[in-house]
Amino acid sequence: MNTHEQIKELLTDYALRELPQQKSSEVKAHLDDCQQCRTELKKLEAVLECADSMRELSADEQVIESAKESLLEAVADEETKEPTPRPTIRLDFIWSNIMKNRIAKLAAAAVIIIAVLAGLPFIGGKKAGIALADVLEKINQTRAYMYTMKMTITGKLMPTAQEHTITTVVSDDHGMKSYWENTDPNTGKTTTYQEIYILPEKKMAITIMPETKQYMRMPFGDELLARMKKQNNDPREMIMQIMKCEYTRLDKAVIDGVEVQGFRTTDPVFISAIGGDATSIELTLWVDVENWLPFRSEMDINSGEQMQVTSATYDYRWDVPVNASDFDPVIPEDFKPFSIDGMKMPGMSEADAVEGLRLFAEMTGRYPKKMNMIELAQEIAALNKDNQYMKDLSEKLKEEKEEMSRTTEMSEDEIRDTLMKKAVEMMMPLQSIGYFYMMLVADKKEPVYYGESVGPDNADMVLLKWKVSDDQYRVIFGDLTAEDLTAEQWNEFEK
Amino acid sequence: MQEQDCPVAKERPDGPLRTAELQQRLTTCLAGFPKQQADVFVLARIEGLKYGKIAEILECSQETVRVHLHRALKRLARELGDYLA
Repeated sequence: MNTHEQIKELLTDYALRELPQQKSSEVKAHLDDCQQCRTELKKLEAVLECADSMRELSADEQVIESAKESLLEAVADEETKEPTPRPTIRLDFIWSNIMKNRIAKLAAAAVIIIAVLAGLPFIGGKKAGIALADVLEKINQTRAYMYTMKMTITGKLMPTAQEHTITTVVSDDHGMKSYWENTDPNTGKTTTYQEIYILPEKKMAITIMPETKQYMRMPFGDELLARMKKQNNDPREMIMQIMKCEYTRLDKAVIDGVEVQGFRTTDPVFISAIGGDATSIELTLWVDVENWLPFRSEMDINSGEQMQVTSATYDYRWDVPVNASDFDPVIPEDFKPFSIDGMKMPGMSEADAVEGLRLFAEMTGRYPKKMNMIELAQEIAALNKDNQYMKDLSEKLKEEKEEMSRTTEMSEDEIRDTLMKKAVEMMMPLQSIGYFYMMLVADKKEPVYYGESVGPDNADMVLLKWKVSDDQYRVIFGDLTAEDLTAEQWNEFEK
Repeated sequence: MQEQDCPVAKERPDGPLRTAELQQRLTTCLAGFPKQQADVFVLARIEGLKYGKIAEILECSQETVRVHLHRALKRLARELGDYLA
């Protein structure tokens, strides 16, 4: 007969299903009588279950941080390697986690940007009746306004559920700034964990992270800047452009004692660029019938299991006084640049997307199956850890590290940061694929993508097609050459 | 090497954690484990590789892999204990 202590020793085997039948039955019998062992087993199984759930998931920040270490450790390891080469499996694992995380965050960031902009959703739709046009007109008369948004993001793409309270100030003259706050559910304590400045004049987005004493500056890419210029740097224009949705008018209601008129859309037109077919959206805007200005809005974005965003925007204030210094971020001297500080945002042009597709093909021998952010992110996250490209990348980084140690005065840490930045930069074209597609959808260019059936060898097949004008199409072929086709030529081609 | 509880395990929560938070704690704990132990756990349970393959990659015996996995699992259950039940 086994003692309690003997059985306890077998619990990990039991949890890992590694026991022979008879032993397993003995453990099972003991478990029926022993509360302590049942609790112990429950813990072991919970750990295993948690690990299982991580298989498809992105890593969290801490993994990125430790990944930075490991990535360069792996490079260092290779430098001093023994005659038997050390396998770089950890590097590959870590690297794929970086990819998962960065790309997942990119997709999330894209949704967040829309969420922030959607503080004033779908105004100026193509079927805008007099009502919404009036609202827009009223907003246009204000030089600066602010609002608060509470947003929750959950789902497989997010390493942890995120709850944000974002207070945003939008100014015609200066740009946009927002404070992102977190409230600890246990202590109720609220901390500002980041301030984001979008400064069109400076062509720059600046993020300050007081908690970690870090900051990050991100110059806008040329296309983004051009877009913002075209839109007079006014986020409202962007809203108008992206939120050209079908909507319905709701019955009047009373919220917080204020009589409001509601408008609702479930038109997935813009969100589809990010989330693919599975994504649904519901936006409701409540307008104060007294002054015809937005009073409250609610938004739900649902991408199946991958991501759910729920937000409510309220506390609108109109014509708030602002001055230039409000939009001049002060970075305290002891704050350190985030490792990717200064890195340009991914490009959004056709050429950038083509470069991204070329890189993807180089890595995998094929093109991504979908171009929308979420599915693209999943595909990149799933890249095989035995991927030759990743191995070559680590080799390349190693060479660069040697070169830098030899030819520069940089400290070990500086070299690490520079290399990390470089590695992330090398992968950046992949993000451009998603951005470019998002722009095509936003601009109503009706992109059609055939990545599932067209590969790099199909030089005569169309990989991506979009509409340039009513009788003009632009197509990218399997070999990534591009051509303009008239509608007639396209019809001919389709035959 | 003397084993120390990972720092995150010290602040005890009021109740069980949500999956995402647990994953984060698990990752942090793993980062404090001996490298080979952590590698084995990651490869076996997160990457889903078989003992034989892991032994090949880490250039050790399958028995070593097994021992590392068991130790890592036990230690995680112990350090994350209060978060799990």
